[in-house]
Amino acid sequence: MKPIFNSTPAPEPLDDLLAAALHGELTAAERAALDARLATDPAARAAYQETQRMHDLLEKNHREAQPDPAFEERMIAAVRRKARAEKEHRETAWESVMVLWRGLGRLVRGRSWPEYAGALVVLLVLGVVAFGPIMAGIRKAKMPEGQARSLAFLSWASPSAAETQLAQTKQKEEYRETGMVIAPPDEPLAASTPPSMITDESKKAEAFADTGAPTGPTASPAQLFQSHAVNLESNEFASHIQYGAPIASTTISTTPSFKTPQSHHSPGPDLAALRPFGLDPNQVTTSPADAAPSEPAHPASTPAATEPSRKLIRNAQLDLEVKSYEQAVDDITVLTKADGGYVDSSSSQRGGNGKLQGTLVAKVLPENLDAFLLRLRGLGEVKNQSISTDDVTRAYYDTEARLDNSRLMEKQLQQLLQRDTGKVADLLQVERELERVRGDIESMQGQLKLYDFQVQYATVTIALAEKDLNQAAAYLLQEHDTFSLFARNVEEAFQQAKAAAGTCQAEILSADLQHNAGQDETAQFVFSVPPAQIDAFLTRVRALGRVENFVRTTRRVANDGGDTGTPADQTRTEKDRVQVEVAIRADDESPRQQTQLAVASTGDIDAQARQAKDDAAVNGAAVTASSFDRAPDGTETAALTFRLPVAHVAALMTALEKLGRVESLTVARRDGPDQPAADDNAPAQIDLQLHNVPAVRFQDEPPRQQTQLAIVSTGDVDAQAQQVKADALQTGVTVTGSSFQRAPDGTEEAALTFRVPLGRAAAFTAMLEKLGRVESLAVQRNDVPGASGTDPDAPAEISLRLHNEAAFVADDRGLWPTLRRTFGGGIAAFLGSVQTIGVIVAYLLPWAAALVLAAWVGRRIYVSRRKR
Amino acid sequence: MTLMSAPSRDEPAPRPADPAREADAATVAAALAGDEAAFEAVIRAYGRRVYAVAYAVVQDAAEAEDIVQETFLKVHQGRTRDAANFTAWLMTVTRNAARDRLRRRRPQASEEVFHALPDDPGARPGAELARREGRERLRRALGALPEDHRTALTLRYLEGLDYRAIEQTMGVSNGALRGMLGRALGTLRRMPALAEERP
Repeated sequence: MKPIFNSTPAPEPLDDLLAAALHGELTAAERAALDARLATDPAARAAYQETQRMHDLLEKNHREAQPDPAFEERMIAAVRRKARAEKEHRETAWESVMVLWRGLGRLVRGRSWPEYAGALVVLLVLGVVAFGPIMAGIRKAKMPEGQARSLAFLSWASPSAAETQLAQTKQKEEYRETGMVIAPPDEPLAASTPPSMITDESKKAEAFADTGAPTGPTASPAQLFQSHAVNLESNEFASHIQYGAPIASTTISTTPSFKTPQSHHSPGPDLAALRPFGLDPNQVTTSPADAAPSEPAHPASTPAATEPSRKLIRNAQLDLEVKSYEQAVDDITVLTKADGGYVDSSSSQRGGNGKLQGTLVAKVLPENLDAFLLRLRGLGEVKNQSISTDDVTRAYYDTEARLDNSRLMEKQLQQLLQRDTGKVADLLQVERELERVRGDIESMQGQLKLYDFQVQYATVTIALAEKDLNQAAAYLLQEHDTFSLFARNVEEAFQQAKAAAGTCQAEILSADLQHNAGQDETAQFVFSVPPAQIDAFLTRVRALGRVENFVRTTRRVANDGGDTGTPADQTRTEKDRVQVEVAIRADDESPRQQTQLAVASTGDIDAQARQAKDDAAVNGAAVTASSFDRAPDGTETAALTFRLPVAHVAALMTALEKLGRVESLTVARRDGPDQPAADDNAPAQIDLQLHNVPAVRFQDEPPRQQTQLAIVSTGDVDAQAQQVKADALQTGVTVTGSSFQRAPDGTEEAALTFRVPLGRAAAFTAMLEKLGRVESLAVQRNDVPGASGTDPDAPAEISLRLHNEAAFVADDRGLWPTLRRTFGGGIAAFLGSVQTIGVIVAYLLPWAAALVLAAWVGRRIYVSRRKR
Repeated sequence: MTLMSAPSRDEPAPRPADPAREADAATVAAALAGDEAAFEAVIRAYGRRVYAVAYAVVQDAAEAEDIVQETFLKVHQGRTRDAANFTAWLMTVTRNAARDRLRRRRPQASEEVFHALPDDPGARPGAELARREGRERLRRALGALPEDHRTALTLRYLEGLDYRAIEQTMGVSNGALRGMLGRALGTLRRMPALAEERP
């Protein structure tokens, strides 16, 4: 036999002998020698006594750790259970495959080929429609990194496991035929004794009643054990057996004589449905067809019993307004204890107004949650309540399944390590993988424990607040005034405002007087005025000048920072000192009357502008701005601004209007609210714009007359257009646009736009008409109201379209090119359809081939079985 | 000499290994081939020995039971077909599983949080504490021994196997086993921590 444990070098002979003596393993000769030595050697005797003491200590200690008498039975049952749980999903998958196989064979047998072909088409369509989404769904595997698949592969790859499983499948089929049930696996020598047979549900119920099953005080039998099936993947099923109440389950599992009737479940085709419950998880056996799926549940499984198998985390949140915080906390503590829970944590804080608020977290048993919440409502006014239930069933069992899988993976990896072959690097790789898998296992175990804890107790978070928690103790009215003051003399106003502040007991929080670079002076004040004096103060300050932009804001604030919402009746409201911000500026008196005058002159603009300036001097007006501008087109413009008393405006205007034709006149008057309406000395302003009349007006003036002329030329269009342009330039007509184009069919077209003074438009048009045959002529006139209808200087626009007749027919028209184009288009469409059909065939052909192959193989197998 | 006469028993082992617990090669082979009855027989025959080896490593009864289940699950899954070296295989698997457990045991904080239940108020704290402390001291002392020594001790004291059975289980010679047990007891009795310990 290969040594497993490293042997150690020989120790002191005495120790060996003493140990062997105490263990009764000495030969007669050795014993005699030892006895002799002990008789003579006191040190050896002492050593013997010490060793014996150690021997006794070890014996006593290990006696306590010895496994109980039911150890073997427990181990056998547990191993069986684990093995079954692992095998079950594989089995189910295998049976599904077999059923499909047989069904296919039955379907395929004895059909004619047209029927096959029809079925194939239907299957193809169904396959494409149905399997697409399924395949997409499978891709969203729950197992990370394809763990599940690799594990499944490893298990399938183990030949002995597969054989065992096949044997068991057969065994189950036999049982199914005879209506028998598999014996409880933890019954001693179960394999050699006939299986106990319980075939109908009423017998089970009787047997159950007779056993007097020791149920815990808090759990009904149905709650003790639940089995639950989870559909892991489309073809993977796992069964989970879960202990509802740990105390009760311990009682049962450690009582070897305790016998319970077996229950038999049908994981069957619809595993997703909740299965009936068994009494002892060790005895839960599964057999695919020993019970109809519609069979009523086990007597123990009342409808309520379906709930405990779900993993529900219940949480509630309650906002309570109570009279006394302390009293409420005491009451809640009592209520919590009564409902089998405890107060997990609490915190409180006292507000500025002496009211208490705080939060309590209570844990109660989930089944008592609703009653508990009802009782809580009696403690005060419920402001808000929410109950949430988080169903972690799926996550829980997913985690459990992944845990099982990870454990399996771990085992496989360990086995790899044990084989002890291969390179060190490989072994290290396996070690690393093992480490990772173990990390996963630990985190999943932790997650499950956390779930268990959360499921075990419902969490109730109670926010407690005493009544009128946010009521403020007192309020303040805060007033804030801002305005601008325009004064003739800023500095004087500044001093007077200061004086006013002194009289009205106003505090000057800030005062600021600035002399700016120009003549601008500004001053800023911030006053804090007692509420009683505010009106008197404002009256005095406002008298200093013209007030603009007066803004008053009033704010009510709680004295202690509490809620400003609804003041209680008894709350005091005080008026705070008023803050007044004043900005004093110089009142530079903008002109009371503004006149804008535009004059068109035929004379020399520059001279006329000088004349205007002279007129202004006579009338006591000051020229505040003047400009003169001559544009490239000969337009001259002079702009002059005069400032003068209102009384002299009329005289100056009379003088200015004599300069030429008045094009426009605008007078605007602005009277301040507290100024006398007729103040002859108030400032007025006159803006004069003086310009001459150019030969052809600016392009941006809309033409008074528009002429559209189309002429069919018989000569060379291009040459004629050039000629017209040259003529236009000579006669002072502006060409504002021109274009020339030659079409493929030989048509030539020139488009020209001219701008002409209205007086010369008719003559120019007549000249143009000589170019060829007039095809069309349109004249449109736009008269501006108020403008002279016969102004010869007004602009007119003439658009000329000069073109010749088409020279020949283009080569892409006519019968033959059309036929050629039609034929080409047809060919292109045909090739496109060929490509589309090719793609469709490429999609479907592999499926069709696979289905035909499967049907053929199935039929062959079926036929060969029939023959046998 | 009365002192000497007490242990000088000719018949070996205070609790000799149950002959029924020896599984013959045929039973093992049948179990490995998938025979359920034989499989049960194998568990009955080797279960406690596997438990002892596991316990020697992890020093915890519940964990040791888990390891037993794991180990026999592997048998059930047919991880070995070699009936001749079955005992050696079984012990190796057990020992590896136990070592794995030991390595994984370190982060225990989260478990302790959830298992922190109030103590039974009826228990006498003093006596229980002393007993626990004594057990803990012995556990630590055993933990200081080499693993094979601990295994030999456990097979002897927990299972009451005689030397022959232990040799067979551990795959060592009689001399080596004597050396291990002698040295183990010698080390323990010289440990100061156990000097005051009374059985």
